[in-house]
Amino acid sequence: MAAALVPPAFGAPSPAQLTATFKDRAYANQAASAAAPTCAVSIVGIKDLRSSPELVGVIARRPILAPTDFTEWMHAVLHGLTMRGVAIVYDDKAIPQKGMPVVAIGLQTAWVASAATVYSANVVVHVAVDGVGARHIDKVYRGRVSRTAYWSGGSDTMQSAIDGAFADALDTIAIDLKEICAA
Amino acid sequence: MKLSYLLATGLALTASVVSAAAPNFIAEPARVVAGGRAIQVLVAQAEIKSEINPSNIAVATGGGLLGGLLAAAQDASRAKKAEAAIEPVRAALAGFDADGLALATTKAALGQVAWFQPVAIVFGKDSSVLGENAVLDKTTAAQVAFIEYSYDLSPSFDSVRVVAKLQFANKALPASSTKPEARLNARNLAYAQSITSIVILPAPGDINANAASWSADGAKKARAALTVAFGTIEKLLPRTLTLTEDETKAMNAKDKPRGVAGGFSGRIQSTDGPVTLLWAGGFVHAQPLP
Repeated sequence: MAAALVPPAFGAPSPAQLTATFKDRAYANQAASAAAPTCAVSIVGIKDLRSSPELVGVIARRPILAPTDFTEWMHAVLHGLTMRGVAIVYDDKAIPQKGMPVVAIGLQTAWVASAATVYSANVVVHVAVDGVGARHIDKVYRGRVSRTAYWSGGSDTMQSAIDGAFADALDTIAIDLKEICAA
Repeated sequence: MKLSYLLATGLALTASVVSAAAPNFIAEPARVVAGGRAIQVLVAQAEIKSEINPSNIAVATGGGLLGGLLAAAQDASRAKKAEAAIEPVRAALAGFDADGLALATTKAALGQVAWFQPVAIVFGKDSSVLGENAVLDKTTAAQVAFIEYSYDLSPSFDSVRVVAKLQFANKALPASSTKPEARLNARNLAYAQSITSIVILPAPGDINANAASWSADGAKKARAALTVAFGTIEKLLPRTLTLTEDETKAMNAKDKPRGVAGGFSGRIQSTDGPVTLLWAGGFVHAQPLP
């Protein structure tokens, strides 16, 4: 197998700590109001289904640590649905808002890997939706992105890769949610 | 290309030249460790990885910044294509417990080596230097055998590959060393070896056709290939651990012809129809998917 990015031969590479944030490249210059939501959903659950929640990968023998606050992280990511035309309401008591599709989210996997000078990030998100009427979704969505470490192999690149993977998954999730809303 | 990356790569290569390598066999007196040997089974990845052939355009263009940029762009393009192509395989492999298979493989293999006598076999995901260092700090055993598995599809997706990397590190700091992570430097390891197990798709096509074949019927072929590949490691791990210095030298002797199998080159140890066992510093076993 090809060698990944090679760390210096001295000392232990310090961990890259990802933060509970989400930079949405595609919508970076767009105001939230620019995409007026055409759909609103009630999120009644966000579960962490990852097998190793503390780690998103090891690259060049360096640990890439997941954000420590899972809920804050997912709230930041799911805000990306708003930019894609889906307004979200959180209901921790699992009492659905009247007339809104009810959504439960489960993060199954979020991981990064390297090949040559390229970082690849993948996320797998399970989404269950009870729509108004008989419409339902029970589906696994995947998101992926590759980033080249031209100028930085640090935490920023890892964060950007994970954010890109989530953005990729959100694109498809939003399309399906809007279909449910329109039904 | 990032200057510090190139510098780090250069330093690492330089260091690897000047530092002595760890022994690739376990001498008789070192087999039983006073104070015991703990086992840490590691699988860092969450799903099957894609791999690419790194670009050599930088060499072809005489190097320099432009060559480096062109190579990085070519790598990025290849990685993007590979990640797109592998997605159906990953989706179809959902629920396949490679972590559990790695742990079971290790337990079954080590059970065949009477003198190994592990004090504990623990599974983990953190194969970083910091993670392994923390294991060494925590253990009550005198030595930890790190057995790290990785699995991927070859760059053309024509084969599934499983690699077991074996690194034995002592808990005690090496003489004249003050940094705990020095225990994991190649020159300080008690033992380092690897086993590569390759299962080749019959009648492979292009990358997308191969991906479709691996992922069809709930990834039936990919699941079978991974199971066979880990099964081969289970057989080769005891053999690897019991190799003597003379045996490793004999396998690398010039009377053994060189050959290529599953994309790897080495000295041929045995062939049985389409099944080949190479020695390339460690065992490389290639076989078609049954």
